[in-house]
Amino acid sequence: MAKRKQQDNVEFNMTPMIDVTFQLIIFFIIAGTIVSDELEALKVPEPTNTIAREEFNEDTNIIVNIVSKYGDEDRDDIDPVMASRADAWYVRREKIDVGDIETLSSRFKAAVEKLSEKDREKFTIEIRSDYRIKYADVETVMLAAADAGVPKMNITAIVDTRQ
Amino acid sequence: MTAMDIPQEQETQTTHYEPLRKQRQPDKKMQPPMTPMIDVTFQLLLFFLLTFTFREAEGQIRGSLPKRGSGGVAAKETLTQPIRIHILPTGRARDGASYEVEGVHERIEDADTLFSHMIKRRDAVNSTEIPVIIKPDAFVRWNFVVEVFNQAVRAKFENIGFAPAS
Repeated sequence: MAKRKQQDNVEFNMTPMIDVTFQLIIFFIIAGTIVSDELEALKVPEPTNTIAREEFNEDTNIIVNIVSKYGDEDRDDIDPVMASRADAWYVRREKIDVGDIETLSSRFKAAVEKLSEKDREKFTIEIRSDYRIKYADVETVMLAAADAGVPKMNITAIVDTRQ
Repeated sequence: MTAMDIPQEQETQTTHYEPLRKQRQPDKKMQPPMTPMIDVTFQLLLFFLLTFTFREAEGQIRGSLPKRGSGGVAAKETLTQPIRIHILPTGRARDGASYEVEGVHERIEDADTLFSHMIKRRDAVNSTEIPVIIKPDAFVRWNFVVEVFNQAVRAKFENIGFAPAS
């Protein structure tokens, strides 16, 4: 008598795969929102033997992004003179025209005024400029901050991850 | 024959009545349809994988803001001679830079030489409180300014300031 073949349903166990997939999705969603917050696309300087530390992030009250018209593009055919001109300043996602020092100062002053007397002394701005921008265009922002009574400044640079 | 001798029927051997309709249908596990969910999940995963751009880790270097006015610098004035560093653009497109340190005849071309010079100056007076005044040219690229600033902080100077652009 021939043996009756038992038809087994062979199926993958999908549960762990779906678990992993969801973990990945959550990672990308969270990482994506954190990165895009207040940080415009640009290339920050990378000094030799950088001493930049991520821990100073906590001090920052306002980030001033100084971007060229090329954003974070870094191709060989980019005109270095054009890339050295600041295209816009971004403060808390608001675009401020280069040279509009009044608006920039008013944003600094508004942020300072929100703080208590004690915290005002610690008020810090972060200069996050593209590495190609000429100093004159960055200095304008630094002077505007000094005029607005900002006492402290941090400069953004690439961190050496090997340390 | 006593009641004890009667063989007891096993539980499994008990015959129960089952309607034919029930016998034919095997027990099916109730499960929500997973396929569309997995489809959507993969779509989302692919989207995020493709749109995600990895950024390099950014950090900050502490600094002080320049002050307006002639020669106004944030660095505290002390009796010791400050180290003044001029940053000058080089190249036709001004995409390079060299460093001119007051009191040094030759221009310094790279960051490591500048760093070792600063160390020498620091050790000569055995103080990290000597003011370092960075005076960049207006057209010099920002990364060279940060470069000099970084080397000064690396050399443990505590009093670093910017002079207005020349």
